[in-house]
Amino acid sequence: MRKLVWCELYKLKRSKSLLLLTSLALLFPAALTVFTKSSLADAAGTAELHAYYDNLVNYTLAYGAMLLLPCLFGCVGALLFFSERDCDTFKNLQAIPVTRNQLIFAKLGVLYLWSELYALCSGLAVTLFCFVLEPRTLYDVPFKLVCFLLAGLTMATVSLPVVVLVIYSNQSYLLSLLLSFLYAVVNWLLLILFASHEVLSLWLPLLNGLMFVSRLLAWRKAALGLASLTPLPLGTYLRVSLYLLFILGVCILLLVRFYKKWSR
Amino acid sequence: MSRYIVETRGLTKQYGTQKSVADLHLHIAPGRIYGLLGRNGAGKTTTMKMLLGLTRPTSGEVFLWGTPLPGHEKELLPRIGSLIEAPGFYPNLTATENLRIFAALRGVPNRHAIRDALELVGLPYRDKKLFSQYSMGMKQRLAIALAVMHDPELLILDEPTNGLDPIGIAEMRSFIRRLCEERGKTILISSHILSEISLLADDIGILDHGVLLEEESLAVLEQNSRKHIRFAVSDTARAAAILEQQFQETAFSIQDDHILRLYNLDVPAGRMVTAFVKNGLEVSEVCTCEESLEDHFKQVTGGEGIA
Repeated sequence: MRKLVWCELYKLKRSKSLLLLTSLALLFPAALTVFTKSSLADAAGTAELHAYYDNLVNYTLAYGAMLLLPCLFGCVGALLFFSERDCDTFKNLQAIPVTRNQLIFAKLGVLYLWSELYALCSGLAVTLFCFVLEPRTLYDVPFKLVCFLLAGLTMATVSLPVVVLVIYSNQSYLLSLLLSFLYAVVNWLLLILFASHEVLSLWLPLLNGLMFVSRLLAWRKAALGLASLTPLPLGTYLRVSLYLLFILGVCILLLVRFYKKWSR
Repeated sequence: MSRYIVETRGLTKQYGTQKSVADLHLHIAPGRIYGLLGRNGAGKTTTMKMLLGLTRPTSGEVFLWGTPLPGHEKELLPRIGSLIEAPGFYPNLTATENLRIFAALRGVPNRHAIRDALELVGLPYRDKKLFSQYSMGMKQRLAIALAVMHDPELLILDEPTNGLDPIGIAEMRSFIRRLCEERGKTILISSHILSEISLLADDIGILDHGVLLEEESLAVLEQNSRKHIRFAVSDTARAAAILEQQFQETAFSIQDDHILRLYNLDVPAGRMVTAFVKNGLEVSEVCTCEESLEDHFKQVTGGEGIA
């Protein structure tokens, strides 16, 4: 499996599309920094400077991870899963033999790795831009980066349905891009419409995807004495964990089914 | 231990109501080049795909080295090198990079395997040219390099000369011959071009509409197609004895109970007929015949199409 993952990464060498998609990790950190830098002039003390960094991290997670990542995730999924179809290399792999299941899991592994890379780039970009504006804004950077990595993992999981859709439709890259965009926008709209609804909010992918990260950030603030923490019942964490595992399981089953169907 | 490297029993592939391959009994002996000859759509590629497990047969069995393929793919497939249909590689990578991927997945132990394979087919090692910039001939060469890189015992090559220029075709032909003669590889090669197969193969299988019409060695086919005198007699065994005893003639073959072919044309045919009649044989036809390989294939397949 390690070799297969290495090969999947190697196949992406010189892929301009992937480079472009990954570079979009800088989009929201850059835009948010530009739009909010004026507020930094009013910040007098260290607490306010730290709050600026915190806000920028939160906004980047909200826009970069919740809005943009699912969209890009679908596109990267299309790049990875369509490569054998488009290059007609599946016969070469099968003759080795590499099974479809092995290939699917290797591609999923690379998708998660890309998601982590994207999230880390976002985190590093926010940190770098803040450092350039005002070095004193930065604090607790390693912890923030860990949060970004966790966001990459959980948001990748809630974005898996878009990869299933892309594989199911088995169309061009353009349609895959549109599907991914649609998935991201619909989820974002659902978030806006139902985030305050007590029951429906429990089922929103984006909220569940970022729940652990937001709790971790809140816990850390409380631990540093910067804010108070309202504890959540253990059942909430269990429910979110099961929700993520359920999505992962169902999506893997569907991916295997659809990929096998059209790669036969 | 089977005497065949590849053997199929009743191999059939059906798509909907159409049989692409029907009840195929293929036999490929070790160290031979087997040419699968057939028109476009005859079922050559489907057969090869089934031999590699790329397509599941509707019925029938595939045996490789005497072992059934299903369930033994991991031990059997690494012993095979293949080129099926068009060469498939990643366009954003160079030839060396493409081969590096498959070498890693195959676990090729030889560090120089990629360089050797590329040199063997006349492609440069560590060239910066991407696969997308390759000509059709170069792509085909790279596909052959992939097939031989892990030093397999059996090569399955689906129309390997496709897209090559005449010199490239001749080079590929001698390359395939060398693989068989110098390295002892068993090779299954498909083509719709008769001259290609007749120049290369030791054994030939003629496939038409998914049915294997004939499976014979080239030597036998060539002998049958030589210029000869054809005797139609009432008993070929007795006629043969007369030829041997009275005329000391051994260059003949018995086609069936009534047809005998004599390959020496410098014989007194009239005296032979007299001798047959004197010995109580009925002679209904005597003629000089010549059937080219092409005529034979046309006759077998029932029409045009194999050039």
